Amino acid sequence: MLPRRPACAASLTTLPQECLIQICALLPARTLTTLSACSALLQRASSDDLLWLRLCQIDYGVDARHCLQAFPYTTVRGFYVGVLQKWGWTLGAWQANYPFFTGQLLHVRVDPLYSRIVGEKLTVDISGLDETSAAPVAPLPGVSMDKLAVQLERKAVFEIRFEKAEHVDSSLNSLWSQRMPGAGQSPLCTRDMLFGEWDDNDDTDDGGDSGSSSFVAAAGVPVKVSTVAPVLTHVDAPPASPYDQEGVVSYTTCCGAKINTPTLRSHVGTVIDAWDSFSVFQTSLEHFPLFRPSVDTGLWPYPESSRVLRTEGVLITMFDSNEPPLAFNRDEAETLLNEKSAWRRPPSDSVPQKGYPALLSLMCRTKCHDYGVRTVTLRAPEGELRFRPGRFQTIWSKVNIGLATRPSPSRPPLPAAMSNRPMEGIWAGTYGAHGIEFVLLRYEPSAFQLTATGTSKHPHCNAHSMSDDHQLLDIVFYKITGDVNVPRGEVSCRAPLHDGRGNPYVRKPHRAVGQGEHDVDQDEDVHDGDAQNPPTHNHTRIAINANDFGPEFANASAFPGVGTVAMSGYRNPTKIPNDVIILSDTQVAVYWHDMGKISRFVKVNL
Amino acid sequence: MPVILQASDGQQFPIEKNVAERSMLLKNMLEDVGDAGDPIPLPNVSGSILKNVIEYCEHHKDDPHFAAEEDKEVFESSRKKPDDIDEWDANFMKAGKGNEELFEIILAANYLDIKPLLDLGCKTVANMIKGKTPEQIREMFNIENDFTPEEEDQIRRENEWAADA
Repeated sequence: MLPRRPACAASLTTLPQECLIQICALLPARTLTTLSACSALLQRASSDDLLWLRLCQIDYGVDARHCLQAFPYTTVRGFYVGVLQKWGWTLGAWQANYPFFTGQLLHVRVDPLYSRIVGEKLTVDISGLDETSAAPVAPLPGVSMDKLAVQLERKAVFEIRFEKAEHVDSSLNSLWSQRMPGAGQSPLCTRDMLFGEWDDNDDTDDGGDSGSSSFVAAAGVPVKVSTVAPVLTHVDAPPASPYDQEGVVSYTTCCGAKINTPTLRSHVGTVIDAWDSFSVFQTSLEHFPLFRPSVDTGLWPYPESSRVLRTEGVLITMFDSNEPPLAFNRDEAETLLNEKSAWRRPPSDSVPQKGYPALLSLMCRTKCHDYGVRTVTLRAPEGELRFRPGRFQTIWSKVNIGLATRPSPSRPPLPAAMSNRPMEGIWAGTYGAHGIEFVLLRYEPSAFQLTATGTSKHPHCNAHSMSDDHQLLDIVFYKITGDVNVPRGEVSCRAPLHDGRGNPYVRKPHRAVGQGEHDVDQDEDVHDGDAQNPPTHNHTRIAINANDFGPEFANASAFPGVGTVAMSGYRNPTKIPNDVIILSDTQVAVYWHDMGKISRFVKVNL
Repeated sequence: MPVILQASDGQQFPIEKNVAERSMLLKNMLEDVGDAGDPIPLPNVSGSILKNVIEYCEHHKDDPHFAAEEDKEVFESSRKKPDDIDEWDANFMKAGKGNEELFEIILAANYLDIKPLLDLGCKTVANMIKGKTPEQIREMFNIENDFTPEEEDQIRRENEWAADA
């Protein structure tokens, strides 16, 4: 044995515990793990629960303090490694690529109560909304303001359960018979009965047999939790995933795609990083060669760009849900085709790289998330109409929330004079007959030019080239839900913030133009050449005050902007002036001049 | 009127009061007992290390003091990344200092309660640990491997998830 160097005092292990902990607190999870393999003392120091609580928070935004009570782990480190390190990438807001014009919002979260990660489809209950929900605004004759009552509904799409291995292996069947309420019934049983603590006195009642309950979330948005209990129609032995260090297995249950229907299909499936299936589906479905989520927002595009003009004829993809327009832009399609080669899987196999949207896909035996599509080829070479059936896999793309979770040095701070600062993230807004839709609020470098008079002008070039030291921001609403007028992924509304002060008044056009066919909607194509400048001369100023507009408007300031309306199928999109009225950090109103409408937006508290 | 610090080996260092006050220990002491002009003995800090510590405090004497809330749990205060070290500080830690000096500076900063210097020392150590294998870390910091082969085997299996980093 080689003689060791003389044990001088300069060993990491001579430092007092509090210094060691402080050093450990600066290390990422993997380095901490490496350090734990050095010596028994360092293993103890690097396994401190506080350290790993902090990593849960920093790496995944998960407050793990209460997770150990339900999840079958004895240490926070075990929870981090077994749950977050494996599945943490699924947490957050996702948007499905189906049904094409509209997007479906999926929220994946850690649910400590049932020791699971659950993916829930969010919808807004609009049953309480009708025509009378809009109220007139006194100083603006003919203008009505929407009422906003956002009631979120959550419906489980999948869940990932974590169980001590022995529970799953041996006692599935005995649990089945023991926990069945009403013994004679056919095998209808919830996962909770099988695996969770079956506690009838549970006040929180966010699942089980009751179906729904209500509570008011912090931001004041009433959230209706309607976790329809997944019903097992057949029992699959959950596939034994490899036990992790604490002897815990995880398995995924798909709750069925058509969770609105009373017949639920619940069964074992797998949640996968969808880059694999994405590439498969890209190559196998010729009619979607260009279909991919935005790198900036993570939102799926309006499907028009996914169709290409074939050399000899027109290829049109028709969907089961709604029919896309016949017109499309050949030049754009070709540009996108050229870019296709640049769009490939990110280099890492496990963690989606920055700049690439993460993709999630849910595979199950009964193909719940697989849809049929038909491709119709018109004016084919043979001159005949041809139909081609195809399959379409639902893929969720992670919504890029932006600032709230990921401060970007490239993005300038909000103007200092801006008193109310609507938070970036998921919002819900009123869209006339389409009801309430989810939108994504972001701040982006301004797409407007500032003219000498201080009015905004629609851009043909980017604004930040003109003043580097004073970069301007726009407040932007992207559509997450979307509708057939202005589909998902498009910009709903954009207004420059300038110095952040805004106007204490809204602009009232002298001549209201009726646009009955159009719906309240917007588009993002601010680079479009035919965009109209917000008129600056033919309007009067109507002061915003709480008496006329409502108490929420007490501290409101208005920012002139533009939105777009379009006819069904996103045809003939037109930009129209509007005023974005910022009410508070969680409330915004938009006055659509030509529509005679004020729509309301509220931050959704996930 | 200068404050005189006396190291464990008897060396005396007369320094300005606002330099001494970078140390919360000395600051509180000076506030409590007043400035009598007597040397303040620091039996836990050697002369050579104290010299380094004073050099650091001299350079940072005009920095704003850390807010009291900075002292909260590990959790909150350590959100900062270990790589945001300013240039003077980085050179200060590098200049001819071996591990021994590094650890002694950390100990002295801990004892004297000079939070920014403690942070700096910890960041420096953290940066040295990053990207190393357990063997390299043991070698670098002179740590004895006190695991049995069985324990080591188990640890390797538990840490497999982090192995490809």
